[in-house]
Amino acid sequence: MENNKKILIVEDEAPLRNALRDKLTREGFVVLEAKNGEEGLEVALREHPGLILLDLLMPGMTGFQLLAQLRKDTWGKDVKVIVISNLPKEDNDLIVAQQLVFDYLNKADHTLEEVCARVRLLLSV
Amino acid sequence: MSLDFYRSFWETIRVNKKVFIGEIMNRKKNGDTYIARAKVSPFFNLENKSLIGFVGAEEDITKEKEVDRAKSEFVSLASHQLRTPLSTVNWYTEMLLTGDAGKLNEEQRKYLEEAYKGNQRMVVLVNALLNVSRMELGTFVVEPEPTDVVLLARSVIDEQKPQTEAKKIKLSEKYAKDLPLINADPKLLRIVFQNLLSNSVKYTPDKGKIGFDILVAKKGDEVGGKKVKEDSIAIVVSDSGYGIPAAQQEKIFTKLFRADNVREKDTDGTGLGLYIVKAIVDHSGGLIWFESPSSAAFDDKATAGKEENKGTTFYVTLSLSGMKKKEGTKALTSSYTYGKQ
Repeated sequence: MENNKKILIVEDEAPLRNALRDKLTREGFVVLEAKNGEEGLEVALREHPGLILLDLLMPGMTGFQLLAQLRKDTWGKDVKVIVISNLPKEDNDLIVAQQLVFDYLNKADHTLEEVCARVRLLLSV
Repeated sequence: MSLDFYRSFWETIRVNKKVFIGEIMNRKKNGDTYIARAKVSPFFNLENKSLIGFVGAEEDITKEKEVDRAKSEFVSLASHQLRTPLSTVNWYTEMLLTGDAGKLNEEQRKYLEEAYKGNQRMVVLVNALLNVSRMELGTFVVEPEPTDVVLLARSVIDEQKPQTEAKKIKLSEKYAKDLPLINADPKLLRIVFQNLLSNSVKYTPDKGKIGFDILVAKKGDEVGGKKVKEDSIAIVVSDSGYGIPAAQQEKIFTKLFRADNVREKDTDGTGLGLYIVKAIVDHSGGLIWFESPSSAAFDDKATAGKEENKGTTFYVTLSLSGMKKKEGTKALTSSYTYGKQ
């Protein structure tokens, strides 16, 4: 399968994860899900999705830690990541710059349609 | 205490001849420190007006400060936690409204739109509360960089186009040609522009007028009835709107205050916008004031002769030397309009 149709969502809040999954599935993407950082890292390295939607604050391994691990991997160092978090973007500018995050969306400030638009743009589909 | 503190202390009692009220970190006899609110009153020789001495009284406000801080920390934490369930309601309502789960009938759509709007208001309120708590905790950063204020203004105006167009408001922009880059924190300046403009849009009736001007004001120039003290840029946002009732003008920058006339017309306001704007401008060494009725005198026949609806003009001046850097741990969020790109 073309991996630019495969998206991994790493998000501990089930309602938000499900909303993203439903929306992106309807948009024709193949959606993989993980409910924490450990699971997310494992699925990412195994499945090599075209894009990762990543929450930052999660119990156990956080999104920050997942990113740091991911970027050490030969495949993971280049994979496209969009952070979806409710931490203000302005607090995490450094992470965005250092870890090659392609976009940073505040869940409370962006519609699902906007998230999808960014995904499509990044995967050029 | 800092040099600025002593400078302001001496200027107040010696030059301005007024009572100084300030907070001082003090030390008890046993070595413990405490925060004191000090009031220092100067007294003068009646004949030659020279300073003879002063009387100081202080009160220990350590506990008061601790309680206040705990309150701000709580608001910060609570408003952050609230964003997750707010996102959930937003996203699921959005999916229902876009017909993802099937077609809605007219009534269902109407009710859902109300729910969606209510939730968006809550997002805006929570964002504003988060900013206020960050300001009050003193944890927000000021990171000045050479900023093109015109570019910033245009982007804010563009962002609010849907609201401006919906009300058929005529918006005119005027920018001085020789505007230099200003050393300012663009994120903070954006919050200032956003609030001033969105207030104008919100509190101006349909088909009204708004002006957004940025000009250079040299030392000694007069802007909005004030003499400018140092070379500055002046941001002037004027509208032909409802105006601010004279009796309530002095409260307009107070936290959670909303003027009676707009409270009736539009329940959709937080009472935090101008409080945040004032704090940012103060932190940046700038000045903010307003005139209502507006002297920009929009020639509006519909409102002639009425006490209300004479408009408001807000003035902000920022020194050409720019904002001062302030170390901090947290940034303020500029997410005032939901769903912006």
